[in-house]
Amino acid sequence: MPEIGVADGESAAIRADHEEPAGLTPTTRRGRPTQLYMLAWRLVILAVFLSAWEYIPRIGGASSSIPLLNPVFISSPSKIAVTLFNLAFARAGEPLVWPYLEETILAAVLGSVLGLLLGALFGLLLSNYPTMSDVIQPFVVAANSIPRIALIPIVILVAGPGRAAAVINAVLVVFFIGFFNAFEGGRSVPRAVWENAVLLGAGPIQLMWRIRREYAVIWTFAAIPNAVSFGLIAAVTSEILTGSEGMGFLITQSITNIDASLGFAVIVLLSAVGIVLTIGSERLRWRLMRWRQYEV
Amino acid sequence: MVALDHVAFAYPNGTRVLDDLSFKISHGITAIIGPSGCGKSTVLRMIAGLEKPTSGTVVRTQSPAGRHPLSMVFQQDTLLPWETVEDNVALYYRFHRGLAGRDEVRRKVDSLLSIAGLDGARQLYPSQLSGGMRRRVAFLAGIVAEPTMLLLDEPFASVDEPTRISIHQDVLSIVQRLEVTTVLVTHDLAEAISLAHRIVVLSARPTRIVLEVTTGWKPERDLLALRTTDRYLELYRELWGALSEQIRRSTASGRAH
Repeated sequence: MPEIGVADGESAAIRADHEEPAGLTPTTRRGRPTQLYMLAWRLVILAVFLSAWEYIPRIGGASSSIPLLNPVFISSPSKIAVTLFNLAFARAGEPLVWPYLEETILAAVLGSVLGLLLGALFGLLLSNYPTMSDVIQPFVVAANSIPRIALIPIVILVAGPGRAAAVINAVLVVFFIGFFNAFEGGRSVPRAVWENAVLLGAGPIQLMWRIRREYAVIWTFAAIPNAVSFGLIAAVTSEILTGSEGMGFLITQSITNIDASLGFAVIVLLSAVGIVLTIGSERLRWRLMRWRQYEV
Repeated sequence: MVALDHVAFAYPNGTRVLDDLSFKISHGITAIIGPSGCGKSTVLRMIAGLEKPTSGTVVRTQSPAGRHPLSMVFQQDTLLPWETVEDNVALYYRFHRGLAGRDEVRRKVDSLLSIAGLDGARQLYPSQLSGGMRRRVAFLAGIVAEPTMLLLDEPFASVDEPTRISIHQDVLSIVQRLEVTTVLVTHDLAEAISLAHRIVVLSARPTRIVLEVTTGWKPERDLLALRTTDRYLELYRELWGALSEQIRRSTASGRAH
């Protein structure tokens, strides 16, 4: 560690590099733990969780005395893995999972994108017109207070049991995420930025489109991972209620046949889809907002 | 070019900032100094039309055809974080499509970036720039419009002294070349003396003009060498005398309240 000694024999020294982190954690140059280190920890946590799930119910009498440990209800990781394999290749009487998965992803992504776009557009407009926003605000708050799940049966009645209902339900759930983010983003334009644009001669539409929209977009993009997750939940819930298609249909099947392994296999697949969609949306966000990578 | 005639200004809560202020600004660089809270920035904002006087009038004469009437460089950051340096500088032309062709805009922006020593920063985003560079870009974004009047609201307060002097030299050369009437509000006496041809000292509230001096500098001047001249020191003494008296009054009145 380079040190610069201070004159006249004082013991003070100036450290020329960063503080080294304590312990044995391998770190990047910025002092953050390495990806490999974090992955290793995640795998350890997963292994402990799966082992506990697999073996604790086998401890003498545990599953008969505690219902939550009964394999009828919670299955086991090994059985779920077998079910996943069977679903992937349509073996042992299980249906081929891919068409169901495709249907759910399609409905969730379509609903999320539409909901986010519509919500963001509405939020941007209201943030630009304060009077209109004040007039509409009670209605927006009231609409947002409605538990969206209560609307799902109504949407199914109107749109019929199919993809349209799943998409509309995802739109309804995601709309408010897009709306509130764009609204707050649109209102977050710093005063000096706004006045500077006004003095440079920007008209009302230019102010909204060139200045306010960008702030709304920053906030809306930050909500993409959340929107995708909620879109997926809404689409699957809709499918469960209609029981006609998608992963929701498989969940209905697992309940009807008291097949916990199938239920958990579907949950595992949906979690994987959620992770992939979230990572994908994060990547898309960084790609579309390249400038943000230079911010601290 | 701009005339303030018996202007008064009070905030909605009743706090009176300006009281019967009158002066004219016609050309060159005019610096306005005064103790904190005396309403320097309010004067600029009224000239810009961002605030309305409670009484009195602010009259700005019509700009010649084809020239943008007014730009302002704010103390706060006004760069758009998602735009590159060149797009930030060219923002005026994005609001006025058709005013100049793409090549012409590019030529203007390039020329300004070159004068300000920002050639290499053209494609960078604001978050990649140092504080001094950001201030330079904000200044260029205001001046690219070639306004008849430029208002500078303590635009370089956040940068260190050496950077500030270097920016001053760029500012001076650009506003003189484009013949932009400039009003500079600052806390920095050295900045006011070296940049301005006329300095107005405002009093503590109720605000009035307590001193007006003309620096008498030649248009072409080396701002570093200037600071060791007798005239500079003489101006500094005179202005500091007036300003320190107002600071004392302002502090005493603050304590009394």
